[in-house]
Amino acid sequence: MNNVREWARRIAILLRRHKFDLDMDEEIRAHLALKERELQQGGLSPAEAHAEARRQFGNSLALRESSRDSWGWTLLEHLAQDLHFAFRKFRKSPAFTAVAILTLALGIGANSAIFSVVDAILLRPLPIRNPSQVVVVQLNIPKINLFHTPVDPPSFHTFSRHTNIFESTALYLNTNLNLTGAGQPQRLVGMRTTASLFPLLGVHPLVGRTFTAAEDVHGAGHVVLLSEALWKELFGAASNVIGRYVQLDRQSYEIIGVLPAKLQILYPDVQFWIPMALSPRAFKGDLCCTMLGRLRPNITRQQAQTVLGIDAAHEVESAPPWARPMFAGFSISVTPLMQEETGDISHPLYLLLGAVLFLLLIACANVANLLLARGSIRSREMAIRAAIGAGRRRIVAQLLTESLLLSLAGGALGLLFAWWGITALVDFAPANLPHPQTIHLDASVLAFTFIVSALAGIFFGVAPAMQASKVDLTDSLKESIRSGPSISRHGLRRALVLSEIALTSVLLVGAGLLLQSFAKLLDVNPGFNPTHLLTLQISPSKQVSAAQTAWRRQYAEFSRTLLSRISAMPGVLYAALSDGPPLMHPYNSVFLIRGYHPGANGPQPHADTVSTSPEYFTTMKIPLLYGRTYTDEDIQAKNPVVVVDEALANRFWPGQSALGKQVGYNNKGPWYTIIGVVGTVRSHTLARATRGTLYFPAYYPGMSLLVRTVSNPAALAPVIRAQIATLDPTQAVYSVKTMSQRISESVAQQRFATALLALFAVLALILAAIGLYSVMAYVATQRTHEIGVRMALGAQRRDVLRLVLGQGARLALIGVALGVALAFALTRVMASLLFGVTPADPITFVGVSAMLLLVALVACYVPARRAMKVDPIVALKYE
Amino acid sequence: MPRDEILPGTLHLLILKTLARCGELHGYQIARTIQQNSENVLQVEEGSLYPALQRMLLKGWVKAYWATTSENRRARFYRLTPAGRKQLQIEQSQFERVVGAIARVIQTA
Repeated sequence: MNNVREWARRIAILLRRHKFDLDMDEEIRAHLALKERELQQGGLSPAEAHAEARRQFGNSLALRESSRDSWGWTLLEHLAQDLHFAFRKFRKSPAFTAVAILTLALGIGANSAIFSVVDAILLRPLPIRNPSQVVVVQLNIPKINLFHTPVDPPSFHTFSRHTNIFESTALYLNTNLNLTGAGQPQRLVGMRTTASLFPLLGVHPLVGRTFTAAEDVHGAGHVVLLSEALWKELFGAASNVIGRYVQLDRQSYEIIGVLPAKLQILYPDVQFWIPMALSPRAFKGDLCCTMLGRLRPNITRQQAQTVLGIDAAHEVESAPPWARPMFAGFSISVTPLMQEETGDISHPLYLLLGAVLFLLLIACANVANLLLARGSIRSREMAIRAAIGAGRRRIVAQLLTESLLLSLAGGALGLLFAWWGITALVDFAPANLPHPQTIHLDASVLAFTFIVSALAGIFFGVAPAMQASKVDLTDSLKESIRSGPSISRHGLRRALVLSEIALTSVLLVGAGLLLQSFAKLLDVNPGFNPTHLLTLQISPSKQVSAAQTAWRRQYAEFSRTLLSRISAMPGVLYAALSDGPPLMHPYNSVFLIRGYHPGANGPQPHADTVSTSPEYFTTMKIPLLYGRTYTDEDIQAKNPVVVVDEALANRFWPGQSALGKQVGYNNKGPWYTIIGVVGTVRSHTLARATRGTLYFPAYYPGMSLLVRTVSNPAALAPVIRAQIATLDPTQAVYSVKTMSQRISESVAQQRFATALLALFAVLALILAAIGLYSVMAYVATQRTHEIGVRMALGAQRRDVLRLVLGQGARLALIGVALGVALAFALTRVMASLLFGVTPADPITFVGVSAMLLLVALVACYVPARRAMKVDPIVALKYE
Repeated sequence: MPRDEILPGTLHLLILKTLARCGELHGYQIARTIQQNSENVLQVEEGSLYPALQRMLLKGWVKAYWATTSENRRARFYRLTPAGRKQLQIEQSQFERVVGAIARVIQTA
């Protein structure tokens, strides 16, 4: 209670500071008067009494201040004074303030922008219950080059039995169906899932309920959950949607609930969910589905992995003998869901965060240099402060307040830059940047900006403050600048510029490496001709298994008619169908080679398997190397055929012809004879070479349509759509893109990282050049007198130029040398992002060094020229 | 006669006691009274008196108000509060305890 009253008194005094001062003054005066009178009575003359009283009393100003101090508001008052003073000072030198704040805003803003991306994607927890306990279970089968693959349903059941490890488990896979019965069929993205998924995640429906166990049974369960977005699109968010029906692939599904939009963060673009309803034999042995598990509270990931590892061993032992070699090295991974979601993108993002931090350091160095320059101009002001009693601490506090004011203002402006930056980033973001719509300036970004601004202010303010407060009273109060500032001030500025140049080198090397990688990536020969090629995905509105031969024959007819109609259209050269076009991740499977037994330790043959229409190779302009490609007759023929690519042929039949060899999937046949070898294409990404492809002639529902056009492929899209609709109005047509677009999208992540790093490097270069220029200008000015002497002694203007340029060049050289060494050490961190370039690539290092030196020389040139033009007489008189 | 410094920490005690004894005094009077009552041994520095008075005001041990002296001079008078009286007792007993202990230590019979 006493404390409260004490604080109340404190606040009262704070509000009545002026009155306090007046009272204090009067009290002191009264005291002095009384003392004077006492001394007079003691025998001194009035004048002597006056002087003696004052002498005995002491420093009244100090007295008043220490009385004030007792109330504890001194710090606050000092702060207010410092702020007030700082504002005035900044208003008097707008150019300096503007440059400093802009520089800081650039550095801090860039950091805030990148941090908001990192925060939204890597740091924020997933919007589910207790996300750290949710894991993804995957298989690793090294023998067939499969790592972190989905599981098959039998494995799921085996793993789920460990109820001591898992509180619950769930299984789901993608299923895309057509929305039918409402005009033009629309392709929807959906998931089939076990009923346990939503309770596992802790996600509650907005409306209605989720699946019951009864609905998750084979044959039952024609129920569906809609995503919030689809609910809005189809039903306008009507509240009575429960109990209504939608038709998916001509089957009726009852709507039982709507799931919230936050699920989009984990499952972007998923529009509907239906029950898994597995039949006992479905997907047997097919690595189809994602398995999630919620670990029990005290169970760690490692424990789960160990327990499941035992299962893995059992599975290998119980496999049939012919399959056992395939299982060598078989293991199970248990990965936290968060890691699985953000695995690929976390490395480049953290790298960008590091790069942008370098940029901030360079910006801070520039501002520190500016402050040091100002410090030498303000030496008289500092001297006066010291003379009237300011302790060093007080002066440093005041200077730091100025720095903090600058940095916080820079931070505020930086937030504006960050906001613009984020808007641009989100537009430009690559496809695998998850949920970009959640990136914005939220509380954590604001907190981050504030902390970074404060730290930056202290970081660049400390050294100049310490410098400026080191006051040599006599020298500074006199006018003389001849002696110049101490060597240490020079040294500090030089050190700052050196570090700027070094950091810039690192950024430039990094950007250079990424640019080279990107160029090399775009240069990769994809194995086919991607120009003027349109890709469309079509799917019929009936979910059928491939075993229905009547349907397949009908579909084959449809496909042939479609292809002939489309090839006949004006502007179209060729058309084909394929279920695994390049860059679209074809299926991969193990296969057998007749007469070849890999042995226990040999690699199992596995390859991408693609089914296409006969015109595929012509359409794609994939070269035929030996033999022939297939025709429509081959599809019906009794001896099934296959075409392989060069990669596969060289892998298994190096040095000999692959023609006539036979492959298959089952030892009892059928065997496919290789009739031709074609060129290898990049099936997955531009960066990854395929290990081999098997091409089969077939027509399946759901293949992609590829159309080679004479010119602009996108222009023909509507006509082709119309043609498909005429032929079969129940086909949904989606994912219509040109191949060039797909290629561009496939390198979007590299483009993103490269562009950003290049931007940071260029900004850093500009800042470093400015920093170098300002230091050289300063140094040249300092040496004016010396230059005058030299010229008087006979130096030519040329020599002066060389002198100053030489100094600058030396500085730049040391900086670049340091930078190159630093870059050498640091670029290995980005090795995983590089393609076709080593982290120590000499061309990049040499190129960057040369560029930096050139820029440095240009930056030094202007001050050097100015020094050269100096009139020696004026220089000699220069103090 | 050389004047000794006030023992650190005892200034509050001296001021409180002086005010308790004399009721209301202004700053100069407090200093003079302490000097007189100590028979000129203790001299209060103004540099420490006024800050001390401010601290005591902050803590609520004294109350201050402007009034006129007997000679029609405007001065700020100080008076003890009940809290101050309590504080005086605390500080006095503390002081006596400490001094007694010191005395016992240096008293080598």
